Amino acid sequence: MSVKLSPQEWQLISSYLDNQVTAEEKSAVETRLKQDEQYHQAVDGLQRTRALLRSIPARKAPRSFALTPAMVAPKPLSRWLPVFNWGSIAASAAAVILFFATNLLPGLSLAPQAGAPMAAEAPAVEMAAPDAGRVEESNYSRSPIILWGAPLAYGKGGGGGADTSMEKVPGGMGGGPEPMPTLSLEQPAAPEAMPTQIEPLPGNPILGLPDAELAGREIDRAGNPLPAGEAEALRISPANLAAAVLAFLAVCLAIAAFTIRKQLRS
Amino acid sequence: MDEARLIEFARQGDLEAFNRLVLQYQDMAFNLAYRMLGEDDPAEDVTQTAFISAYRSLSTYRGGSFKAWILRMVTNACYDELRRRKRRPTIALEPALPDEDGEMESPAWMADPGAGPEEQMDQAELQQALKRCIQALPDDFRSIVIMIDLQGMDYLEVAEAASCPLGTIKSRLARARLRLRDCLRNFWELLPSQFRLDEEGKR
Repeated sequence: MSVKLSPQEWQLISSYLDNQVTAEEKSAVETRLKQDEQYHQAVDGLQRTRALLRSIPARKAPRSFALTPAMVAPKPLSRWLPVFNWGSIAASAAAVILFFATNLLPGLSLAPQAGAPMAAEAPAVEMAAPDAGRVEESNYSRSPIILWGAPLAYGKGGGGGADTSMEKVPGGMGGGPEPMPTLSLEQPAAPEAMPTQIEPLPGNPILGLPDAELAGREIDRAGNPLPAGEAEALRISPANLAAAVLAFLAVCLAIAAFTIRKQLRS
Repeated sequence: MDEARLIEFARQGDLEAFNRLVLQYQDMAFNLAYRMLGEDDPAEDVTQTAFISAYRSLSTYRGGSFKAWILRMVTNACYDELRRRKRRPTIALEPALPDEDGEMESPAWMADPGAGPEEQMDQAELQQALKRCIQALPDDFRSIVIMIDLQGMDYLEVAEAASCPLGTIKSRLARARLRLRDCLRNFWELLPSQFRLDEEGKR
């Protein structure tokens, strides 16, 4: 017959057997021992188990575990571990500080002032790009993708062509939601992108090419030149680029540190 | 030379001083590792690893019981080994049946010098039963019951070695003892009469 006691009661019995109870607890256990036969059995059972465990003799060490100098010599890789650890931490901290100083603290901004609001809007434009049909006219007209004198940078942020200059092309990041129809002898534009009827613009035989005074400037879909601030905002600031490089470096160093630590443990 | 001075010398890089501490605690460290892992070779490896870790981590020793600190190193090394086994389970090449098991650690323990072959066999079986019951405990229960009941350490030292509050030690010890009592009931016929419960003899 097994004795039903609460975990607290078993714990009290166990501690009582090791004399790890207060005087009151000891007195309570001993009083109950005299009155309760089941409680007596519980104490007796645990006491015999304890005695059996304590009768097992300790084993001697089969050999000496004294250390030799070779055992405690630092492994070559271990020297690099602190370098990678601290390098990763420093690079992470620098990336975070640079990013916040550039984007969230306008007073300390290392980038053009107009960059912050436009940077926040950029993802919205990116999100809208795959579903061009839902793009509102207001956004549509602001999409700054048309350049003259350089290949067009359109289509889901795909970037400009190989000969696109960073000075004039906003990195292809602000690609418009809908490709601008172009005329090419070698490769005609996709049927759905082609206007149903092409009407040549007055004074200019090439569709969509703006006036001569707009050459080299960034314009929107309505053909108006973009304000200087907005055009600047579309470019990746050197500070953000540096933050991204630092973050990448931090990840690489952390992976190297983790790998070394794993090798040292094995 | 007393322990405090040996520790101080060892912290300054004196390997000889540290080795004197190793010799002082290696039986206890190996015994704990063996009871935790249940096998000789892994226990030796873990004990050696723990001493190497201890030497390299001497700067983190902040006083208190050095024995508890060393045993914490051994316990942690055992947990690492047990986790590694769970990640990469292996099949033992040793026979699984108790009567074919070649691994019989010091079957002379608890033995009556005049015991016959049959009694010696019973003692070996009891040894195996105890080993199985201890191995069946959860890892953190097992380390506590080994340190208190098999190593004879006091609660405070074990609390320090296990990095647990005293209440946790008491609770885990009580539950470990209860589980062992229940497990050993399955082998009651192997138990020497002084360890048998009255109720078991009446079954």
